[in-house]
Amino acid sequence: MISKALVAASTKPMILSILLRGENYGYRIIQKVKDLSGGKLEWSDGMLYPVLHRLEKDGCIRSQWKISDERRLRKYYKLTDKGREELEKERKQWLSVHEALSKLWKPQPA
Amino acid sequence: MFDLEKAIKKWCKELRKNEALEDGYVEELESHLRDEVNRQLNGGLGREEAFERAVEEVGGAEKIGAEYYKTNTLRWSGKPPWQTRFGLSGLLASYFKTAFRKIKRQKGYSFINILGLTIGLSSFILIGLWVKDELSFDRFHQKKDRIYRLLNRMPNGSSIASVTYALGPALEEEYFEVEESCRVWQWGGSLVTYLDKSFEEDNIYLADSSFFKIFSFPLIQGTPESALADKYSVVLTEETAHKYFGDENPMGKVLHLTQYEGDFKVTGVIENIPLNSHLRFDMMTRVELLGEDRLARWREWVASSYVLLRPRVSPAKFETQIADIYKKNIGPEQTYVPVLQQLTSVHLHEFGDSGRVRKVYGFSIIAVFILLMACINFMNLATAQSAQRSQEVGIRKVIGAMRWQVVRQFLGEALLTALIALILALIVVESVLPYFNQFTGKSMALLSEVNFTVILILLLITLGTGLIAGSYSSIFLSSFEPAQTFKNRSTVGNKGGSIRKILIIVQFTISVGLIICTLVVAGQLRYIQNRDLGLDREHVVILYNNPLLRPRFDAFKSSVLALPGIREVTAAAQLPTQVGQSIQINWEGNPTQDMLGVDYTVVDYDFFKTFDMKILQGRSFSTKFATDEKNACIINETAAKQMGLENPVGTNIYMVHPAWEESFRPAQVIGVVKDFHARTLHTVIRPFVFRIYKPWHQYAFIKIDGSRIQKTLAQIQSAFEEYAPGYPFSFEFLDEAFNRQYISERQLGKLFNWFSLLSIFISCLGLFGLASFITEQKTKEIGIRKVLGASVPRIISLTAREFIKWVLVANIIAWPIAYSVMRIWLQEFAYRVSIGPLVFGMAAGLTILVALATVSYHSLRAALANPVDSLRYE
Repeated sequence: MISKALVAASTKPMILSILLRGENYGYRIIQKVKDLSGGKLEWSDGMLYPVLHRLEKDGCIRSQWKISDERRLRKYYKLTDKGREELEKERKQWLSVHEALSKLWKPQPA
Repeated sequence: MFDLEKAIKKWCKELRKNEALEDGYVEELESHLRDEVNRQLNGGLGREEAFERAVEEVGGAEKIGAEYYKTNTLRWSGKPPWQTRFGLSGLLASYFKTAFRKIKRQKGYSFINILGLTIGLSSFILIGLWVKDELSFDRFHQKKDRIYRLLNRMPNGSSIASVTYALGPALEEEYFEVEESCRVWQWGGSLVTYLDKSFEEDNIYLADSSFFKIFSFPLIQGTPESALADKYSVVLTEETAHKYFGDENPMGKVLHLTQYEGDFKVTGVIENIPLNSHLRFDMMTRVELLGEDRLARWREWVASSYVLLRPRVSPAKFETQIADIYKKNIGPEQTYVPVLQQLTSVHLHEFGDSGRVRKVYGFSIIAVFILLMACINFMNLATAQSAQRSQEVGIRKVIGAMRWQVVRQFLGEALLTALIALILALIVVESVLPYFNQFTGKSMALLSEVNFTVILILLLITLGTGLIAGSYSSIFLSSFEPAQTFKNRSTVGNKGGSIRKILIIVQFTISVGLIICTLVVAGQLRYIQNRDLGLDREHVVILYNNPLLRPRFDAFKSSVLALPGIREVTAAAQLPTQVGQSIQINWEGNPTQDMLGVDYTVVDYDFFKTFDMKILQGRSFSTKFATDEKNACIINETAAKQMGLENPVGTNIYMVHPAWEESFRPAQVIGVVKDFHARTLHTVIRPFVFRIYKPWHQYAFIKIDGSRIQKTLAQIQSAFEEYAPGYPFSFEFLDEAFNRQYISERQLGKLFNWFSLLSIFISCLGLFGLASFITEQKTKEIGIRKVLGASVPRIISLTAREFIKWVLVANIIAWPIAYSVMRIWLQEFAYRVSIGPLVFGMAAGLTILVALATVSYHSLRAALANPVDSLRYE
């Protein structure tokens, strides 16, 4: 069970990274995020959409509606250049934190 | 049986009730739900269970809404307001909030839209206020329905406002239908003195004692019966009373009026006269002062006269009764007929038939035009805007949203935008009103009296505009097939393009028309300024040759001539550019013995020298000839022509002037002066006769050097005060007086200037918005062209070409209309400019340039954009 705060902080880089691999639509992105964060989130699916829209408003991702052959309507998201920059920033930040914590948690010599 | 579709739809409906969820959010969530349902179904669950599980996964509507809200606002508590408020007001507020948010999202278009409509509404309101004020004149008189001004109708059907002063009393005496009559002379003036205070009053009215019984000018002191009871009584306005008497009680005090050579007792004080009264005076005394026998004459057309009819008398019937009163009293050959003019239409028709009324019509039309343009703009932009959002509409149609929901949404937005514009317009008007009041000389207020009807009309107009714009765009869009909206946006946008084209053309037509009018009016004003009047009016100082100065004028003249910087000094009865007197003359050798009507005035010897007027035949007046003062006259070319005399010098003329004794009436022509403009350029140059008659030389004219004007004036003042002590020294320059004659034309010019600017601005706003939309549509096309090697200028010309065509069409339509309108206006002037092709060329050039600049902004941006971006856009 991952805490709400942590989930909140990590959804942004997670979503951006997923989109780095290419265009994707809401449902699949959220499924991926759920899988990666392992087990249950304290949030429901629907509540992740606002994050997507926030990212879009900030200009990190761009959206477009598409119709599939079975007449299913889906909103696809794509990473923008700004998004790429943001992702790089997040990556650096998380890696720094990870480095710091790793050093702290290294088994101490007895 | 569990109906999956129905359940999903119900779930969506619940979701939609939540206002935080904007367009597309619900659809996205629905899509997510369906995917989840499919997953659950694939996992082997039954439909109902699958649905319920999926709903659980996605989350409840309330929580989702709250989460959205948190990310979308800066509200501190993070709690949506509808969770704290409830009821109908909440519903209405939420409805507006959605619309409001949509407007914020398309800030650019919304701004242009609101701006255009605000300007249109503001102009409409301002002009509306002005028109309302003009129509409101003289309505404060209690008996206004029974008060009429007497006019003379001439055989050609037109009427004039000057009647003989014998008419009023005769009507009152002979006809029971007339309760009261009153003669009013509006041009009294005099030096007025109280103890040591003297002022030159030029706004004294002379009227009959019945004046205050007919007109409702509330008397603060005195009664309508006693106010003008005595010939030597005077009534003052509050302001005038304060000027002479301060806080003392004015009643019974005595003012000395030099012009009428008498002491006048104050018998009444009235409240200050409201601005919307055509009768405006500072003081009033009795009309008998004009001369009793003059007033009794039937052949002299003097000034305005009014009657108060008894209740229930039909004015039309009364008119037929009095129709031949002139024939009876003057003679059977008299062709004038007296007619009645309602009091409330006097202001607009001050000269009888004509007057300000045309201006009022003209401005009303302009107001309607400008509002029309703004509304057209609004509709144009709203439809263009909504075409952009056609995709959104497509989505809704796929989901199955009902058409009326789409309509309702667009309608709501349009109405809200229109209302915002109305509120802004009211604010703008309120702040601009003081300056507008100054310019028009009125005191109008926006939120005064019964402006409820006005506000209601405005509301209706605004809502109407919003309604038409909203419904047009929504109905037109909601009829789309969804597939269309996703495939090719440019085809979608072009529907309705022809209507937009027409609307833009209409706007530019109006603009071009206004520009042409502005140019023509400006041209005519310039012509007036520069036209050779036949006399030199530069650097001429006008002084009032007051009764103290007049007998000593010759001495004053010599003193002033001795001063440095003085060129000439002369005097006359009227300003040479503003002669208003005419008379009938006869002359020896007149073949028909028909009298000729001529303009005339009396002047001093050096008159022609002072104004540099050329004497073509004979000579000017000269002190060398003693008879010049008694029996000499000078005529102008036109007079000579109309008299049929090639060599008029030496001819004897007989001037039928009632105020001159028999011995003074004949005069011999000693010279012919070159034609000059004695009246405004509205009138053709008429025959003119000059004589010398010192008692009437009211004005002194001093031609001074252009340099050191201040010093010269100071010296003239000292001389003046020496010869006319006690009189205040006030002067004016002749060209100032000249310009004042054309004040209404100058105001017209200024107004046209403003309106042209306004209409061009509004048209450009519309064009700007439209160009933005169309250029966006063509982004892909432009991208491709760039890749294929087209240069930036070429791209701009491609996109701009369409618009320029429209502007040209607008020009072609506007030219004949503007030409006819201006020709009618110019016909008021006997001397006028001709409307040349230059005016049309300039109008076309200006509009094309402006349109080009407006459109280029977008074309340039598109042309300079990286084609990679443009092509990736879709």
